Amino acid sequence: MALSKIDGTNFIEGTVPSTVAPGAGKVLQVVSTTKTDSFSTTATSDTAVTGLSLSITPSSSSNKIYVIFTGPTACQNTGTYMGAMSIHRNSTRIVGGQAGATTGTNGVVNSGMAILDEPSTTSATTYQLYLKSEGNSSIVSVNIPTGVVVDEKATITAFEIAG
Amino acid sequence: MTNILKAILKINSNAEVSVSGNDINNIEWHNGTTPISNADIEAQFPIVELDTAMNTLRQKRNQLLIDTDFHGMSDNTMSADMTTYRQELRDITNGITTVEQAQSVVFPSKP
Repeated sequence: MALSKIDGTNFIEGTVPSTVAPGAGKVLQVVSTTKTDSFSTTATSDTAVTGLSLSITPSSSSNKIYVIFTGPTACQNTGTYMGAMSIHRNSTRIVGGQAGATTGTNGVVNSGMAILDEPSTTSATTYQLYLKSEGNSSIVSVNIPTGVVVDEKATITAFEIAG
Repeated sequence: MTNILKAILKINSNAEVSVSGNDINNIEWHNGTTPISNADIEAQFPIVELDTAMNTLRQKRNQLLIDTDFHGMSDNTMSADMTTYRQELRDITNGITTVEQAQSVVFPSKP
């Protein structure tokens, strides 16, 4: 679309890019779930964290969903072992990260992970946090309480972004 | 709060299991792990609690040893008092069999 503008002394002409839809990038809805109790696992396969899932229904299949997890995670063992976390869309892993590592008996960190997802659907879509242990008796946790870490709040939030 | 997973791992170190809310009634067993009864898990609680108390004690003891490690360097002669102090630190876990004992340990005074 051609544009003309007079700004006093100059006559400016330009073109609105046709590839950018009006309203693109706007946040259309926000869905969030917060978990305050702990969840721990020794499972060596991706394991759904109860209470850290949400459902969002995109209003258009061209819209994107920005999903973000934040919260305290920990990996406990007497050796140096890893814990993994991931976000799944409808039980399919879409992004993974490290949930903690320890060289002692306890290693709590404040973790974060995010992804700009393109589900290409207008159906209800579920996002959930998963945890996985490396094995070797490693315990991977969300919201593990300690004498120092209190008032834990692990949160998963989804923003629908206009496409 | 006793860590239920640590109690389970005392019985089966290869157990693959999840616990929600550290609630013994919210346990999910994974990948063919044979479930363990709540009574057997609870029987491990005193052992886990003693482990936790002993770990806390050892961490504090180890730091005190680290703080005086430099006395043992080759260009230094360690005093008899320091030698005794460090040996008392090393022996501080001897004979402890209960959480109460672990939590009431009195550390020796640093010379």
